[in-house]
Amino acid sequence: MARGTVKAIALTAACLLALTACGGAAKSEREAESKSVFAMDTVMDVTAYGERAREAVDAAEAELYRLDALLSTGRPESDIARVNARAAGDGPCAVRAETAELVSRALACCAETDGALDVTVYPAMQAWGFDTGEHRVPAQEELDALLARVDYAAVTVKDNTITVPEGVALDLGAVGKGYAADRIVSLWREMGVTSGLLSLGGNVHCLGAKPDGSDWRVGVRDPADENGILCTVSGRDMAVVTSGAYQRNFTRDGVTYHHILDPATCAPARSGLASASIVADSGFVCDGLSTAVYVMGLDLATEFWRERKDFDMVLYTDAGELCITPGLADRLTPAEGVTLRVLDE
Amino acid sequence: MNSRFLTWKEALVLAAAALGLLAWLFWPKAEGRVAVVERSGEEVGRYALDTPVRVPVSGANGFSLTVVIKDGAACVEHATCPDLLCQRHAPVSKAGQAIICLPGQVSVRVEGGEGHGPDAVAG
Repeated sequence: MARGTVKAIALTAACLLALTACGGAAKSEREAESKSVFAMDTVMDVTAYGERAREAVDAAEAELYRLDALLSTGRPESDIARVNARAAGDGPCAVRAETAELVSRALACCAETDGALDVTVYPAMQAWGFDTGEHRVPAQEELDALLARVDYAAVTVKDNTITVPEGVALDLGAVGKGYAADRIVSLWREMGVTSGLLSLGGNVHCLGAKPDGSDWRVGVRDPADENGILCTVSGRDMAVVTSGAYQRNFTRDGVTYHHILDPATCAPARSGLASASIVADSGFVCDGLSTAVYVMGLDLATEFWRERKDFDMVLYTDAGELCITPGLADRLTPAEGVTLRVLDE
Repeated sequence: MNSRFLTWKEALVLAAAALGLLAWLFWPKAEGRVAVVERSGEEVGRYALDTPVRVPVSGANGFSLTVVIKDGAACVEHATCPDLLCQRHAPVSKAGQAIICLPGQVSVRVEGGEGHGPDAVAG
């Protein structure tokens, strides 16, 4: 073999090694670990990237089970179930500091939204059978009587104890998944994980950017098509949470009843919105506000947003109009055929 | 010519090898779409959407269902869960789409292909 040919082969081999090494490094950066976890009455998909991806996913799974055990209304030993089980005269119920803090934050969110979000709507959820799946349509008198039992202002949190009046019950379902996402993202940051994606029962939370450095792209589901999307929102370090009538519902005598109850009527909210999505950096805020904004409807929600402006929203009306806040205008792409309107500042 | 580092023939060999290598590294992989079936978070199997097959799955809590791959899509048939939401779900065929059976803790998720869809869907 000529000396030159040997040289060429050696050079090629060197290039191959170098490129393989580069590819290997890139692969390690982009290494993904995913897991589906069934918790909080839903399926939760967690994906982490990087060298500690496996550890991160395991930590996320453990955290989801821990929070489910802490906050579930359906597990008698959970803090929330114990609060709800207290009979009249039992006095305050001692809970973990974390539960007390979370309930305080949830109550504050209820107050900020003027009760459009109410974490005491649970008795009404039970009356409609949304807690068990054994659906029924309560009579108007029953709903009227339930109104007295739906009042977040009647809940007291003090020194790691929670007190609720008899008949009132807590359910953190409207903020629990968002809080869980915040907790996992916080854990991942402590572990040095810089890229990850959570989809907790449809609550999406993106940590950092995608492993290739580009923005995440989060679709907002089309209420009329379970495989379709209304639009795509791009960004990093963001949560996107959607509340919609299509998520849990049942039909009786030709009428469809959904699970987002208006605390003012104890009946499914009929606000003219098919879905409401919130985009912000906190999963907790997105979760609580998506429910509240859905109950408010377009006009009240727009007023509410103008007062705060610390979140963005995507409201899809029953008439098929997609209304978005200006902060999303340059990072939201509507699906083909969707009419877009940017709300005034 | 001998005094040069490489002859033109050697340079040609090197260039061809380098091109081949780059093509191998960066050419889009013609990977087909697959339905990934999981039970309680553990993978049961992966099934190419271009190959029709019926996969009976024993889910959690005593519920079972059959994942059916046909016409380039995956759907669920013969579910024994109480709400039958999985069975009523439209067939899924695009990367990122999924059918979930909550009572049976079974998921059918489409992966692979040239996915231009979103990374996740809120809702």
